[in-house]
Amino acid sequence: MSLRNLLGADFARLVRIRLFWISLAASAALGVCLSLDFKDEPVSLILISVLLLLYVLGVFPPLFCALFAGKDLSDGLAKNRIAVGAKRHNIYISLTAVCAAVLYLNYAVFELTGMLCIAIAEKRVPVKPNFLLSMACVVFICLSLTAILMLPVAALRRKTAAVAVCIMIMPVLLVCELSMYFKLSQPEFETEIYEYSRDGSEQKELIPLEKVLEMYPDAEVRETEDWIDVTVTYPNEEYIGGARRAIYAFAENFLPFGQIVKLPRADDPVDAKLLKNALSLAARSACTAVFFTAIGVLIFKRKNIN
Amino acid sequence: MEYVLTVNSLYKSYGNFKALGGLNMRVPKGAIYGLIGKNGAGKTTLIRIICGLQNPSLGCYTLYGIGSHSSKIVKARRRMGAVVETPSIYLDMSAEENLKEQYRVLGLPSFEGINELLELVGLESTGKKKAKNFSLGMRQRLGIAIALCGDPDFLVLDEPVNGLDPQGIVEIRELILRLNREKNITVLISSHILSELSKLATHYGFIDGGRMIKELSAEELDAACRKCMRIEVTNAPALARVLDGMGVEYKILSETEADVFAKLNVTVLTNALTAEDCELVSVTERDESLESYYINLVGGN
Repeated sequence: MSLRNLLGADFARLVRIRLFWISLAASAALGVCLSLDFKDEPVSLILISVLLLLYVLGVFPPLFCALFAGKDLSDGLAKNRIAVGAKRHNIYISLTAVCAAVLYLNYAVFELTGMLCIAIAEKRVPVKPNFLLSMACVVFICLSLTAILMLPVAALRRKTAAVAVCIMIMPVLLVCELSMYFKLSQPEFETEIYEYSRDGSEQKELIPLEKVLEMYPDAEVRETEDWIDVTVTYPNEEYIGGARRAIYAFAENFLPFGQIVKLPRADDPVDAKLLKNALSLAARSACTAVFFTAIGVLIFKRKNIN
Repeated sequence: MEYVLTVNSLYKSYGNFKALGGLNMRVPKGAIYGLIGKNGAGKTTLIRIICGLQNPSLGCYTLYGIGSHSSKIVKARRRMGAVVETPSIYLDMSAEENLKEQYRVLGLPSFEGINELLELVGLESTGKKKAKNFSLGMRQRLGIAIALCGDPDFLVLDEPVNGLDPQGIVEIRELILRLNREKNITVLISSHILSELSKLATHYGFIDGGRMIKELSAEELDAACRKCMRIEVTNAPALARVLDGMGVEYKILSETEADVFAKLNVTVLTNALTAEDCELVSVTERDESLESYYINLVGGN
């Protein structure tokens, strides 16, 4: 029983799922909303846009993966397939591929609807080469996000439990990645400048100059006619270095939200560097997808199906 | 005899709980094999392992001569269909859509045969009704129809009549018999409704505590459960002489007991025994059913 058969069956099942069509409609609506200039729009529209954004990006991907794949992997409907000779890794890969395709289709509908609105309003075609590059990279990001969301679906025995865990994964992943991003953005050293007037008439600093020079013997002192500027450089306590930094950087590079931040932007000049970055981004997303899918396959292969 | 399935020393443990402890079994081709055992005996675990839903902790089985450790076992599984516990059906789809889905999984070139399958299981009139609105019996029959996609010649049914009403039980029984007789499908069926199983099975396997305690054919079971009169006398050899004189079939069990496989006139027997200087102590009619046979076998626990 080939992967092609399973893909055919899963895609045929997909078109009958109401949630899939609802999500496409929501993505299209979000595309329309985000193409509008919010300065001139009422608050209710902004609220609708935020809700749609939350649904399309935060709720729908985990909900769909857990419901669609959960029927087979968690609730055990895959037993019809296993009992007639389908290989477990094929079943898993087929479901992952369909879920990733659905996430990508939603993204594509969102982008294309938004662009269509801009094209109609501004009577210009807003497609740039960066956009196509970005669309190509998103294929791999969808795969990597789906691969992560499929793990609890493979491991858990109830679809409802899988839905709950998957929905929780998204904010946890987002918070973790944001925290890593901010930690990595911290400079290694912080610089502070103390300014002292020579006659002492405009004393700005609370710490006396002698004290500062005693505390920071390496401080750089710059003297002018009226002022003495002391530039102090000291290590930033928030800065993380060594192995921890390497781990954070690695995780940020390979997890989906970090990858979204690094997508080619519309304003970026199209050059060899951009292409290289896009290729590297796609390769990292593919690695994430392969890694998590391999873990999921291992879990599913060892799972006792009831 | 050709066997569709042979199981050799199969073990399965869940943590410290041993579900199967060295189970052996042989399912002959063309048989309706009834797997009998109380709850927790290991029937469903065995079926799950055979269907590839779980891996054995130790031991192996062969399906159509292909060992479970072989990579070709998936090919052998294409010749089987299974309904394990509750039927695996998509509740938001109709019966026909569920069958189409399984056809796609099997990679069958067309949907020809779906109507025939629906007719076979009596679901041809369900139309677009979704499976979530089906009765338990209808779901069970749909489960069997899905298992029959791809024309398997080995059907595994785990408790197929559980929770069904009397009419549903009769329908499923007739369906299984029809599949076995008309399509020559070998059926492995587990149940603890023994009276129902006795109307179907051609072979029996009694399982208890994760082990096969007895395997026998329906003929062997009939012989073991034959109606007889158990006669207790003071002198069994004298009884044997009398019974020989009457020309009836009997079996001496001990110095004082014998089973007689015929109807006897007690007065005539008493008179004949008195002439042999033997006293008749008691006569009891024995009619051992599958149920009592099973109870005796597992020790009534």
